[in-house]
Amino acid sequence: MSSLKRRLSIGLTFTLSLLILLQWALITLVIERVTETQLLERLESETEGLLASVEINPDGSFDLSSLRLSSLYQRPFSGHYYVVCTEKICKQSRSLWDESLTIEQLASGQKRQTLIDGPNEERLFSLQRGYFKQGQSLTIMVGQNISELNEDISHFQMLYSLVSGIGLIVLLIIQWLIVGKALQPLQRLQQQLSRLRRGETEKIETQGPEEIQPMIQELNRLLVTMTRKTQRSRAALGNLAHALKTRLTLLNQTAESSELKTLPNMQKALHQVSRDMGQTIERELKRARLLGSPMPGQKVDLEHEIAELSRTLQLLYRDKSPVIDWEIEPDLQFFGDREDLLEMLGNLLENACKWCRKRVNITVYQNHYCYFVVEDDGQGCDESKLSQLPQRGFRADESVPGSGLGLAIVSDIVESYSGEMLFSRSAMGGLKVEVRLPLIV
Amino acid sequence: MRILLVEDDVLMGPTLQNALSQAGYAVDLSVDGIDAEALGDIEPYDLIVLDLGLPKRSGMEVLQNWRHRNNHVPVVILTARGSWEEKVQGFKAGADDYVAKPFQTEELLARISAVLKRSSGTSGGPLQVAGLLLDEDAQSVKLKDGRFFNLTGTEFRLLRYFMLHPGQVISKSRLTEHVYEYDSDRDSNVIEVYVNRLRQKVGTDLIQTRRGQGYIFGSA
Repeated sequence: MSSLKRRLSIGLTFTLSLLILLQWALITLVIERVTETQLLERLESETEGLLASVEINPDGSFDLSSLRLSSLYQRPFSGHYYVVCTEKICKQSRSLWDESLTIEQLASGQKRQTLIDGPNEERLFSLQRGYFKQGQSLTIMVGQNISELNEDISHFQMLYSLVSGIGLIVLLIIQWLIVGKALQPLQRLQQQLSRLRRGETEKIETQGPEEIQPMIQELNRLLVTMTRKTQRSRAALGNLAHALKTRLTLLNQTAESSELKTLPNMQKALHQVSRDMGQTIERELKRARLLGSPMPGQKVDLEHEIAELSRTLQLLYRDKSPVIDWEIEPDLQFFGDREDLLEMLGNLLENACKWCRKRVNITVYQNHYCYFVVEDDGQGCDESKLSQLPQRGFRADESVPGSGLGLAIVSDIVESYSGEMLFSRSAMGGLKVEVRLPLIV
Repeated sequence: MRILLVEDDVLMGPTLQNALSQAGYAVDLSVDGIDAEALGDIEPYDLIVLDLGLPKRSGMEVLQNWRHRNNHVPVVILTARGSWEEKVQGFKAGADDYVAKPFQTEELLARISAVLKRSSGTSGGPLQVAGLLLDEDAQSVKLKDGRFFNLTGTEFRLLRYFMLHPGQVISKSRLTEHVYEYDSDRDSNVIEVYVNRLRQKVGTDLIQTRRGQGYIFGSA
């Protein structure tokens, strides 16, 4: 998965590093250039000075008037040296002491700058020029020890690299923080969305920056549309069911009319047809509702819903007055559609109430999944029939009235939640239905 | 027994009203929520059959309003939705029973009869008071000595009302209210005639006259 933060960070790190590297290289280069130029200028003026102080004797020898020369040339191994040569003789500065520098004769006007080895393993930056003075060709070389200068430069470079490196790290940290800060609204949005999924809120409340706000608005608009669509389609389904079932009741009444009373088979057949159609409508509408349920899961108050269901069932089975005990793990949070849950538990509990002698137990607990266990103390069901229970219209015992639809509906609901339903014999004697649903749908 | 039937379907309402009348109930029909709510508050019904999907005001709301005003008339809900949410809501709102469409008339009659018996404090099963056994399906009565009489419609209605309220002084006007429909011609003198005919069948001692007050059933 590509991370926005990582991508931004990598991009920014790369550009920042490149920038810092480039300016480091540029500064280093410029400093080297400037030093060299300055050095060259100085050496050039030195050569000019030397040329001025050369006095050619008539015999072809020459003298250097030391007055005009810097004292640096007098101190031995001062780092500043010169050599002046005619075609016959060479004179070198006193600072060279017993060392000597070999030079090549240059024609007048020629100029050469080189790096040569000097005395005491010095590195000399030297400028060599050819002149023509008073009928004599002269070659003057001036050298300066640059070892120290080089050392200074590399010292500076080291310091500068260090500062650049630290600067780069500081910049990277700052940009990382900025990226983190800039992406915070997205994190808040994500938190809101998961709150929405858990049903703790109905719309996204967080405010985002200009770039994200339109997205939040669109999401909210979508939520409203979806909710409205769901409500509308549920209402339409309800109306359809109402109309069809009312007509079916009318069909029943027609079958009971005095004209048809004389034809009991006909009457029975009509009743059978209307019952089958009623069941088909019931189950298909419930399935459609399940499939077309785009609403995010809502937090359901299990304790409350189960208590209400139990009360309803006790009223429905007033003659039997079953004792319905429930045990719900505290802090258990089930997220899903309240109506689905009521439908599922209602059918399971009604089934249990129908078959029980006196007691019905419902246990809800959480262990990676959400478990709903409904048991009764009735006669139970043959092992061989257990697997057939959730089939539509299958009735394990034909002697008790019922449609055989309840467990089929439960099975549809469980399936729509990607859950599982297991049947077994309860320790209480009757049937034990265990429904396992994922915690977050 | 007087019943208010609240059903908006133009075909089903009258058909059901007819079926209930044949079963020996005085039935008024109402086709919308507001009208039904007013009737339920004004008229002394013994039971109300209430469809939930009503125009103008939903059945659930009507029921809640009645209960809110301490109107405890027994109510059997008719609904087409059949969802558990609605069942829970219905019972919470104060319904006494619940019949899901499509139903057979027989089923509705059984529920109505059970709720009526429960609301009058009689135990379930066939109605049996003071040695009389009332067969509600055949509309006939069996006496202690084994004699057996078929009852006319009004006789059946009267006897069922007496049997569901044994030992109570019941005025003639109360009998009229609970035995006849809203728009029928109510003449309390006719009641006297019917009570006398009933006495001839079940025995004069069972229905005594309290002068100026009315009748009392089964106190002897």
